[in-house]
Amino acid sequence: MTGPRWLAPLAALGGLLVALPLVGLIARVPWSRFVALVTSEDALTALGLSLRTSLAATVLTVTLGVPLGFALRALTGALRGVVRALVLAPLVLPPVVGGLALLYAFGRRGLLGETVGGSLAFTTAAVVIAQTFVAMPFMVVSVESALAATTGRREAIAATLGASPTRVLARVTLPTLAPALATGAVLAFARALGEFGATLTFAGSLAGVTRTAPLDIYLLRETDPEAAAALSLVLVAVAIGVVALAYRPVRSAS
Amino acid sequence: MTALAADVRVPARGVDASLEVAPGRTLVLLGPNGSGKSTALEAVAGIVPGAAVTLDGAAAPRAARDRRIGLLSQDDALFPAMSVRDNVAFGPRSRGVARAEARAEADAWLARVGLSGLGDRRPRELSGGQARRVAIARALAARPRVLLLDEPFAGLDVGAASTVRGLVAGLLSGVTAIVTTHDALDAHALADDVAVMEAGRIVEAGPAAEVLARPRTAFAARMAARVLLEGTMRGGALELSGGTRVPVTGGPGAGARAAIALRPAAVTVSLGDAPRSPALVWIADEVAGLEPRGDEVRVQGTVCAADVDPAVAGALAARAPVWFGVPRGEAAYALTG
Repeated sequence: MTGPRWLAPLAALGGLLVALPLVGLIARVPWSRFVALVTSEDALTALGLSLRTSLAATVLTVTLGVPLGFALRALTGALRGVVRALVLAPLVLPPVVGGLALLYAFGRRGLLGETVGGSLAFTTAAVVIAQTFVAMPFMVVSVESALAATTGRREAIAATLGASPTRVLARVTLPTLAPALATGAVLAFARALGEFGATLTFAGSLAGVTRTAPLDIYLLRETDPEAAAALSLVLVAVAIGVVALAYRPVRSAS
Repeated sequence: MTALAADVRVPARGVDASLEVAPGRTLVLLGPNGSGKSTALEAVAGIVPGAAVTLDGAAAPRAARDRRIGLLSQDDALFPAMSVRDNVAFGPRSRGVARAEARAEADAWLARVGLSGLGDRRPRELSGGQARRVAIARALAARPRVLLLDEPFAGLDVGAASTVRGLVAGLLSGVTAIVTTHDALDAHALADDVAVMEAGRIVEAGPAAEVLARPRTAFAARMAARVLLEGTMRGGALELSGGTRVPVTGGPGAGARAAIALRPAAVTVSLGDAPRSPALVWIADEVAGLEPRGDEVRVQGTVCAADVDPAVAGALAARAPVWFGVPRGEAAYALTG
């Protein structure tokens, strides 16, 4: 399926729109200082923090997003549409708005009060919460659409063979969902790694605690643009690498 | 061996039927596609709500996992992420049998269905017949009290179907089972008892020999691959509604409602003024429909029916006048009571 010929120039234009900025970034990288820049203490701290928080957010996304996907599938009619829109909101919300909302819920003066809010504010945990908030929709969508493609037939037969609901989930349902889980996890990880607005608003920018790589890049942009470009390239490489290695579009379950 | 009784009511799918199977017997649930047979089995197994099931007189548990009623579904529903061996070991493992022991049990079951050595395969690497046999082994390995087989030979090519037929016939002895089919041949081969299902309801039930050889309704006769001629006994003959008298043997006394059930292949067709053998009784009828059935064509009349060579059927059209030749001396049986 290649479509009519006039699609080609538009495709080329689209490709350029994505590729040119990357080329521009690469052109700015000071190759002679590259290694020194990305291995500076400041850069390594930010990159390490980004990696740790993104992995933690991915784990949380799987732990909470998969049950959410099941719950969504269990709803019927208009209710499912409403709940789905709510759960997916962080996907389309401006990250700053998401950050503000998180602040009003889990912040020092948030809904949960001083005790919870005070212990969370400006901590690494707050970073993970912000990242999970923005990344979870990828997992929920992925699981829900994979579940929609299954008939529940194998699960029913597994029950007649004497399997408990937990055993059916672990041995029959989750293995069929594995590709969808992998896709959701990869997208969630990539999204968490790139998180900026919600983190800055909710968790602040404390070196070594909440200043992830994107935040560091934003600060360096003023003081050391070349370092910002070098660090950016690392993020680009990680993001492209992860997606290329692990992202497979979800196919309908056989 | 377990006795099964089930009252199945699934209004959403138009099913309202009572089924009973004595310990160790096989009930064949005979009906056309879409008559609700699969729904009835799913309800008995407990994966669709709507069946009140008793096993040996005691109410069966509500949850499918506790019922110990095995279901072989038409789609096999093998678990694709597991090896064939682990598929079969799934039931024992769910019961808490240790892994090594469950796998040994699975291998024994695979041997019984003739699939030794395929334990390490994935379900997608199996042929249709092999997958069906694995599904049968998986259902039996769970040691069900009652086994339900939903169209166990459907969707298989001729060779595979014949293998699975032989296998199922051997495995069902001494097992309380319900087998659904739309095929009279399978009913004859497997059934101890037969229940005929029409649009979600049981229209006839009883011992196989009784229901298949002496159907009481045209529908049951069609499912049993028989033609039912109904009439009234008049001095050693069955008088049909059109007035034709068919000499029969046996049957109830004069004036009683009675019937004979014929194999469609035993009925002859004659057209127009062609000479008709006096050895047969000829019934004037018209063609209501023609349906190809393998090597033959079923000529369905309004009263009678016959299986004829396609060359003969080629000369027929709907509503064309036709003579059906019926043999004399068939055994008649009473329709009332």
